[in-house]
Amino acid sequence: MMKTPFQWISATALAVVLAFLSMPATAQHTLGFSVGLEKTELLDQNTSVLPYKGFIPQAGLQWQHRSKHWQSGFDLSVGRGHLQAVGHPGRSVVFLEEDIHGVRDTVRVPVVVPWTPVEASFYLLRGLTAPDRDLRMSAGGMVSDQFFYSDGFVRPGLMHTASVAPRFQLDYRPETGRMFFSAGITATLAALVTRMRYDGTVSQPGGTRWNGFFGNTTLHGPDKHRRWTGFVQFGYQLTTHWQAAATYRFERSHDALPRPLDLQRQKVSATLSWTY
Amino acid sequence: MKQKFFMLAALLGLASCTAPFYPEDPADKNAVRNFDQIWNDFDAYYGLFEAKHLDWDSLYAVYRPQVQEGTDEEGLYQVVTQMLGHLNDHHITLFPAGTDLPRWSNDLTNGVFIFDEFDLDVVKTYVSNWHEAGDFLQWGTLADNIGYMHISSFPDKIKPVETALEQALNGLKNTRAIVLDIRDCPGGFDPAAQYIAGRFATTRSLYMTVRKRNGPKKTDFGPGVEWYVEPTGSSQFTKPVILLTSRATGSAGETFTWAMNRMETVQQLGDTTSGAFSDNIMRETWNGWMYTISVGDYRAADGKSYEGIGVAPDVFCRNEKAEVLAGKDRVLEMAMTLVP
Repeated sequence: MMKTPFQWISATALAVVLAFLSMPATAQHTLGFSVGLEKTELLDQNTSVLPYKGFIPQAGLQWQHRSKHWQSGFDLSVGRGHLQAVGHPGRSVVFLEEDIHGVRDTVRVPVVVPWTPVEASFYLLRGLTAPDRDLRMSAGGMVSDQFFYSDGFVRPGLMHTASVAPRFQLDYRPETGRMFFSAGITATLAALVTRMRYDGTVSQPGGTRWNGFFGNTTLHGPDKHRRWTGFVQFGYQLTTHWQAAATYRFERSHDALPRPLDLQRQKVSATLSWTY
Repeated sequence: MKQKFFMLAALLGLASCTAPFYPEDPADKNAVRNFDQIWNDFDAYYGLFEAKHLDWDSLYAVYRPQVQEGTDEEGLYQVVTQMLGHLNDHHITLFPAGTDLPRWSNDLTNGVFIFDEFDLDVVKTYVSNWHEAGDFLQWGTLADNIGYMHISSFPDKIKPVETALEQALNGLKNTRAIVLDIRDCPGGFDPAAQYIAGRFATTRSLYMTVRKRNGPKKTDFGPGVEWYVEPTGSSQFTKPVILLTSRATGSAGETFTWAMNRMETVQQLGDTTSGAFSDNIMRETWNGWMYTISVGDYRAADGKSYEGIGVAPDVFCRNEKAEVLAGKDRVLEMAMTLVP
C-alpha cells in the first residue's frame, strides 16, 4: 500500500502521463501558472484547544485537457507562511540562560507555526450535455494528495491525505465573446489519512520521523473524514492562445481521529494560461 | 468593465462570508477554565501516574479550590506550578506565554537552569586534535592515546548522525579507549541514541520497553514496544568506553545511557542522570500558556521505571563550580584513570 507523499505523487503523475498519452490528437491543452493568497483556519484538538489562522501565499501550476466529451486536468499548488493562535497575536515565550560565569541571556521566541500546504490533484470529467452548447455540465472524479506540514512548539494541522472524490463542474464558454466562467464542487468519499498518533510522538525503534508519522496511516470513510471543496472562476480570453482568470476556492474538512481536526481554506488566485 | 468589477466583488464577497467553526475570540483568561484545561490535559495524556504512584484526582481536590474565576495570572501560575511540582518530572515545563512570568520546570530556578559543573571550554584544554562532526558531536584525543567524544544532543535526522559517527569513530579507531561525554546532553531523538549506542555494541540486547498513552483514560496505553541495542554502521568500537553523565543528562541521553550500560566494555562515571526518560508533547490552554506532558511509561531492561530517579553511575564523581572556573575537570581526569 502506498503510504508516503512521494508514492502518491508518483502514482498521480503516472495517471497524468497515461491520460496524456491516451488523448486524441484533436484535444486542446492548456497550461497555466497561478499565484494566490489563502486564508487558512484550523482547530486541531490533537494538539491544542486554540484555533490557528493565517494568510498563506501560494503558487500553482495547472494543466488541462479538453476534447469533445472529456475534460481532465492536473493541479499542483504549494504555499508557505505562518499561522498564529486566534486571540493570541504576537505571543512569545522567554528562555533565560545562564553560563557558568553567571552571565545571563534572554531569548524571546515568537510562538508561530510555520505552515506549508502542498497539494496535487488529478481529475477526469465526462460531459453530460451536448459538446456544442455554451453551457456545459460535466461529472467525474478527482484523486488528490494533500500534505499540510506544520512546525514549531505546537504542530496543529500536521496531516497527509490521499483522497478520492466525485466532482461536478459547470463551464460557460460562449462561442462568441471573450469571457468564460467555471464552477465546480467535490466531496471526498474515502481518504488515506495520516495524522500524529494520540500520544503525539514519532519515535520508534530504528525509525525515522517520517516512518513514525506515516506509520499512523488509516483509511477513513465519510464517517471519519469529510472534505468538500468548491470553486468559481471568471476568465478572459486575452488572445487566441492566452487567457487570464480569477478564481475563488473554498475547502472545508473534518477528520475525527485521534482527536477532531477542522480545517477551512479560502483562496483567491490569479491564473495566466496558454492553450495549445 | 462593470462586469469585471461585479466578478471581482463576487469573489471577495465569497471569501468573507463563511462562518468560522470556532468562537470569535477563543482567548479566555478565566482562571478556573484554564486550570481545568491544564488538569484535564494531564489527565488525558500523562503516562506516569501508575509508574509514579500518583493520585491525580486528589491533587485536583487540593488545588482546584485554590483557584477562583477572578484569580490573576500570577495566582494561577503559583497554583498550577505547585500542583505540577508533585509530578517530580523534569520533562514537564510550563511556558506562561504572553506574560512576564518565568518558564517553570522542577529543575529551573526562576526560569533558569543552573548547571555549573561543566564547561566545554575547559574540556577543550584537555583535548588535542579537536574536531567538529556536525553541531551535535565533537571529538579529539586525550593524553595516553585515549579518545574523547562529546555528544550535546541526539538529532532527529539519522543520516547526519551516521555520517558524524563514521567520521569520529574512524578518527578514534586506533585509540585504546574512548571517554564518551554526555554530561550536558538534554536529550533528543531516541532512534539516534539507539543508532549511536549500536556503534559500540557487539550483541543484540533489550535495553528498554516503552508504552505510550493511546486514549483519555489513565489506563489507556498502546502495546509495549521493545527497544534493542545491536551493532549498527560499518564497524564497532569494542575497546573500553567511559561514559560521563551528570544530572543534566536527560531524556534520550538517559535512554542512551541504558543502552550503553548493556555493554560490558562500558563504565558509567559522574552523577545520576536527570530521571526524565519519556517523550513529551506540547499542549496549550485558552489563555495562551503552553506546557509539556510526558506521554510514555519507559522501563529499563529490568522492567523498572526510573522516572524521577535517573540512572546512577558505576562510579560517582562530580565537579565543583570553583574547580571548573579554575579550569579543572575532575570528572574527566578521573575518567582517564579508570581506563584499564
